[in-house]
Amino acid sequence: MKHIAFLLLFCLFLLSCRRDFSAPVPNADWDLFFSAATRPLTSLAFQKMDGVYAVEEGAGAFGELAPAKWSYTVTGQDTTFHLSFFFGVDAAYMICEGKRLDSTILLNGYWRRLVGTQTGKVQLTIPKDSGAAFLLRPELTPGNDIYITGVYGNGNATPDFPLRFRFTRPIIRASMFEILAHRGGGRTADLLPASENSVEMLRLASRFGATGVEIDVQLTKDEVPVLFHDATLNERVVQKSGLLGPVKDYTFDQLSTLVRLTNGERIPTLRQALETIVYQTPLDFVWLDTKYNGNMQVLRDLQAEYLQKAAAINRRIEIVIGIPDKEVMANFKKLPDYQSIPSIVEYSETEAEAINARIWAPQWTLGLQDAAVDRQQAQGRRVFTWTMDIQKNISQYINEGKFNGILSNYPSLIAYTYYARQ
Amino acid sequence: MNCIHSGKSYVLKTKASQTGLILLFLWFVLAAQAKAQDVPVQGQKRIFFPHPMDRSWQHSIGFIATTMNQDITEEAHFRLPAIDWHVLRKLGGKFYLDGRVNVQVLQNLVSLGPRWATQVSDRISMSLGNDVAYWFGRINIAGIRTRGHGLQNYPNISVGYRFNKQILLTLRAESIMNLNVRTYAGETEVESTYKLFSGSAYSVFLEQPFAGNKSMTLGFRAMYTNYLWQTWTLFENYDRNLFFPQIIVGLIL
Amino acid sequence: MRGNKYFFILLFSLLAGSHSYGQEEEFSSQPTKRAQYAWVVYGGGGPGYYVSNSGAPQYLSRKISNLSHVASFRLMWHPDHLLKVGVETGHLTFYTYSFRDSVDREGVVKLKAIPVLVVWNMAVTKRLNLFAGSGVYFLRTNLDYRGTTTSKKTSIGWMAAASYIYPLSTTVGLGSEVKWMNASETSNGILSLQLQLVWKFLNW
Repeated sequence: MKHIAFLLLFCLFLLSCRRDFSAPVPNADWDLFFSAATRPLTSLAFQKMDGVYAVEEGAGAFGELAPAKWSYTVTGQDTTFHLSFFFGVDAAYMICEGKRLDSTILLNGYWRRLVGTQTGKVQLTIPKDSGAAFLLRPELTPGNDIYITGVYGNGNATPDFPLRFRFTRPIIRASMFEILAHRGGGRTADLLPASENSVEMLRLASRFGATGVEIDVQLTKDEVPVLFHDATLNERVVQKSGLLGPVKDYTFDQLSTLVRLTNGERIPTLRQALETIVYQTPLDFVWLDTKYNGNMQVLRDLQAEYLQKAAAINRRIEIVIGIPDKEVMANFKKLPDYQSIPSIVEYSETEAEAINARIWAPQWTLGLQDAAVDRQQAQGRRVFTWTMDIQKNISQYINEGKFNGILSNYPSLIAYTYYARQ
Repeated sequence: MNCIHSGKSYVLKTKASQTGLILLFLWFVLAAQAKAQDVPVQGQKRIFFPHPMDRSWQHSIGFIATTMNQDITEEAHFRLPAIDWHVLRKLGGKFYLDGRVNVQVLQNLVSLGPRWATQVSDRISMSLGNDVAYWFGRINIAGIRTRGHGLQNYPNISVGYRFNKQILLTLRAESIMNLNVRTYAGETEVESTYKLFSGSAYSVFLEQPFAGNKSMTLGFRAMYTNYLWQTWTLFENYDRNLFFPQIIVGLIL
Repeated sequence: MRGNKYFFILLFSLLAGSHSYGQEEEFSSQPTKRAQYAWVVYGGGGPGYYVSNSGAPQYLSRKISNLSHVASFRLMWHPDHLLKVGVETGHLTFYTYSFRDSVDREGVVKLKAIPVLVVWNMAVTKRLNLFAGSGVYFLRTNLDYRGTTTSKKTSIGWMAAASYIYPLSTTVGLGSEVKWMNASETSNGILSLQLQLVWKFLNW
């Protein structure tokens, strides 16, 4: 019996030892940053911080280059600015808010290694004589030496690993190149602070380096377009509620009352998503990936409505309807004047031509396809590729390919590779 | 990122879904308590039980069903089981060779490795071994010809307990080492991220007579790995030791 | 009541039919001799308890009903050793909950399933049997809230059970079974206690 007891305990131990993965955003407490003497930074100061930085301390952890890009989020009457650093190691990034304390700039935020779960605090400063004086000047003057120094840590521990970034050159984004974030900014499985295809994720996307987003659209039973990727409700993406099966089996009211995404958000309507993108973020491209086989007029109406709304506030934004297969194509062709509707064909080059799509988007595993890309671009059509997450291949496609945009679960990695190469 | 200390948490956590698995284990262990005549291990058919071989060859045929981790495969939770052909060849003394072929047609694995097995007591035996495995696959995904192959190494240790009534229980622990992975999509080589020490696996096997002179193996293998070869087509680059449970069923011929 | 009547008629028929075997050995899942094979059916039902209080949205006023009933039907092939194999199906309700939304509208959610599993069985003693199986669960959500909805999903899953079978004759036994059932698409399982009728209907 002793043997049996031992075996039983051994088995129970093996089975109950399970890794619980999480990567919560560390708390932002930094007494100096939140002291009464600090004041907000202007958007101009953030803009002037855009650039490619050399990592002079901390390169062992983050690599030798760190492009940094500013972004904003509008919440009611408030606008929050962020400065994000992108790294070429394990899709790592840093996201910081900024303040000024007299003539010193303080940057407070966190880092995350996206392929794993590691995260931690970041506390950075730019003293007056290290570039803050230039950054705080109220005019957009040519660049200057900027040194950002500080510390980073693990989890919520007080940071004590040294960091030092040196500004080397400004970053340039070729006007047509799109860094597209998959599922509104990233996947739920990547343990981001918001769930995939949620309004909250859309607000984060530009902080991850995205200039545009791809979102998945399905229709509910009462034909409300909502953002949802999977074919059925399941505990990968929603909290347990007893509701299983396809989204189209439920009305929007039923989903809205009973279903919450993994991080507690509601399944958003497409209207809510577009409202957020147009009025609250700097994103300039929206790829509506059609994940249903049905009436596309409702999608077209919302596309037209929000293109008009964006134009009314001088927001340059593209909203295109994604066509992933022949079934959706057949539905798309039922729309009146479909050849003038902004669209993106995700499979056949000839179909893209046939419907006068703005963009042709082949899967990245088909290769660089230089000849086909040239052919499409000669017709005035842009070419995006999807869904690239592997660093070596991203480098190859950005450095050797001719694509106008790349869709990725790791937009920070695309941003790093694209900005660092210039 | 090597200077950053990992924040991974190893949580002892019993989820209700795991309770089912625990009951399954309980089944194995309690089943092995069946009271009856004491039959020596020699002469009993066995394939996993770590004991020096008393015949030249031993074969078993069965299947391995793997439940995929949703973090990687998302909605595709389950895939067709692999046919599992398992062969032992006596080398002499306490040594034998352990070979396996796992066939899913489009992706397959072959492994071979030596075992040194010894009887510790009347009821307990153990073995040490090292299996080298080669996997290869060729799958057409949405019109794109993807192919891949890789080399793995599995150092392993097994402990077996012989119960009455010809019931053999084996516990095995393995390290999962990926030596090389090469994957291609069409003509493009896709970088695969893997580590030499990718994780570990823990298994329990129950072997006993089934029908006529055939014996049956029922096994459960819990893998914790950051690279499972069967997911090579996903071109995923997670660095997390995800859980992949396997059920192993075999008929010992 | 009608169902009960048929159950007792069936039980009586089985007992009467089995009497013709005379006073041989009583029913057992353990083999009595080599090269003796049999087919055995198990039919049973009883209460089930869903082992979790999660599953209904926390932000709603809700009432979860963990108790339900579970019915099982199993067909096993008994070879001449302790280990046996077979298939199982049945019907169960994992859990039900009623709720009120923020404007006091009521609703009910039921999550039901039909399992189809391959089951392995080991006779531990003459009367005690252990079962374990895996396969698929055909899940169904019934929602009654601002309209009725039924939605279906297929899930992989498993079961484990222990059954004590009291012999009534050479071919019939009456058992009680404790069983755990779990479908991976819903993260908690159900524990049931079933009364079971076992009939060795073919023997050679």
